[in-house]
Amino acid sequence: MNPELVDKITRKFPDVAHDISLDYNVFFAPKDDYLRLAEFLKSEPDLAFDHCSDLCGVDYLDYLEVVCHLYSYKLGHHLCLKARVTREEPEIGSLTSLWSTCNFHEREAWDLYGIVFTGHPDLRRILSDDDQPGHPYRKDVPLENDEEWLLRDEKTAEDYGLPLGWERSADA
Amino acid sequence: MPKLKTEEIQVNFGPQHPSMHGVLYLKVTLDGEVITAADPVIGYLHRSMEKIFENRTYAQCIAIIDRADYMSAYFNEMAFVSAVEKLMEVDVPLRAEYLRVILMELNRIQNHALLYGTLGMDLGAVTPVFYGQREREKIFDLFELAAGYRMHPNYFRVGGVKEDVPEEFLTGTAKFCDNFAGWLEEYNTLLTGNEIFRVRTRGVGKIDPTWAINAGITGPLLRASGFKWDLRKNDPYSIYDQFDFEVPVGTQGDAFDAFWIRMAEMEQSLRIVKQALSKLPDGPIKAKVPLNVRPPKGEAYARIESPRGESAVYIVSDGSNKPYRVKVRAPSFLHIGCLPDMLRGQLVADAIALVGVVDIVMGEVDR
Repeated sequence: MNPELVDKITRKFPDVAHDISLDYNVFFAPKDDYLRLAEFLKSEPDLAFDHCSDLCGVDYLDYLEVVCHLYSYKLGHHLCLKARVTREEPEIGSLTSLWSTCNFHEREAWDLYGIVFTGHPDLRRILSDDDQPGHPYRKDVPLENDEEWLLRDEKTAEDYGLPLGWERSADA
Repeated sequence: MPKLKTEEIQVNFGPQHPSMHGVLYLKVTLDGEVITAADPVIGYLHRSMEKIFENRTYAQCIAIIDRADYMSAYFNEMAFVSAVEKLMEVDVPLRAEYLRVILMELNRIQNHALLYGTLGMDLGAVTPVFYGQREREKIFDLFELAAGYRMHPNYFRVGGVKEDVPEEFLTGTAKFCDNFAGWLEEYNTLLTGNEIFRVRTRGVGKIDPTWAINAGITGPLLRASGFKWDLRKNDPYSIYDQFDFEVPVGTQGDAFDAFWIRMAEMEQSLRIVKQALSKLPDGPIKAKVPLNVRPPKGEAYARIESPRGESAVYIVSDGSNKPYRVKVRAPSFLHIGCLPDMLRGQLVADAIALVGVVDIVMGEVDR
């Protein structure tokens, strides 16, 4: 991407950090600027990011990150937009109104990482069961079938469809 | 004529239904025969693949990612491997690149041959599926010669391929290329020109390019809408800039165009395979990279043109021999997200044609 365009973005949004250590430009947006920056990237004629290639959540233990890869069919440049949210309050604006493809991406990020996208029209679980406890891709979720974690929200084993006495059979 | 309003009923398509291509569950609301709303329910094949990657070495990941889009395994491997190569800044030997291209394009033909068969079957023509399977079987034999496996080859490695192909693979591929043009003609005589098939697909599920771009539609469906875009041509990766091929584009954006694009792509893939075979250089097949790789700390995003659309892998590495996070961008997943909009206002019988032509593989959707 053209360095002048990078300048243009950082001048308009002084709080946005920029990183060029990768082979593409990364912009770290503060939570409040995230939606406005995305809108700017889409609507500005010499940026014209019309394709949202990917959006996902990443868990860095101290915080959660929303990573969004944008591409412009018109101008052929590529950019990565990132925003951080806390684990306690994982809320961020939804990009669905800008790119309708974000609908499924954001539902997936909510399902697997528990990131709440405010303004999303239909934020439901998508890949896991409706009664799945917690958000399974977070790093603090044990990889093995951990009884304590599974039952921490005081549901019984039967609530999760497990057969009676499954704890005992696991010991044997 | 005023529109007749009838009582709305809900019909469940799937998850066990022959035309739902796996385990897609589509809750469809009907007004008479017209679809007023559709809600896709997915996740029946969810294997937590991305979470499993976090606990496996990179070499093991390649074997698992084969199972994502199980109909075009080489493309999954390619997306993953090129992301790791970007991270490590590895230069892949030319012979390995050529072998990858040959196998990927054969895989594209195999995938589209399946679509040709199943789409015909969805619309009531039983014969095409046998023709499609006949050629797929030949391609699987070639895969077996190259990688040792038919569907889940686990053949690409970071920095190259597993081992060199035997001589029979090259002669077998050349023979396949000679015969395939004739078979393709058979395909077209059998189904493409068929009157009933045309009536069932022409004008069904029209896609507008502006909407398609916003909705994240990629690949053959986007090209069917008239937007000429192919990652191999417009943003070349690997060695695709060295081949001479065309990008077929549709004009009306309906189901027939989407089908026809697949038929034309098979022809172009064949051209690429032929060119790659004639230019295949000698030399090493793998860069000097250990099997148990430890990419430096960082992240990479690699996208490729798979038979279904833009397939991409995003890897975050923390410097260890296991990835910290892998995200697979599955084109089918996003195409399912577009189904409600595409199905609204269509007849219920056309839903079958549309789902068939979108070409969904649930392994990739649910991962």
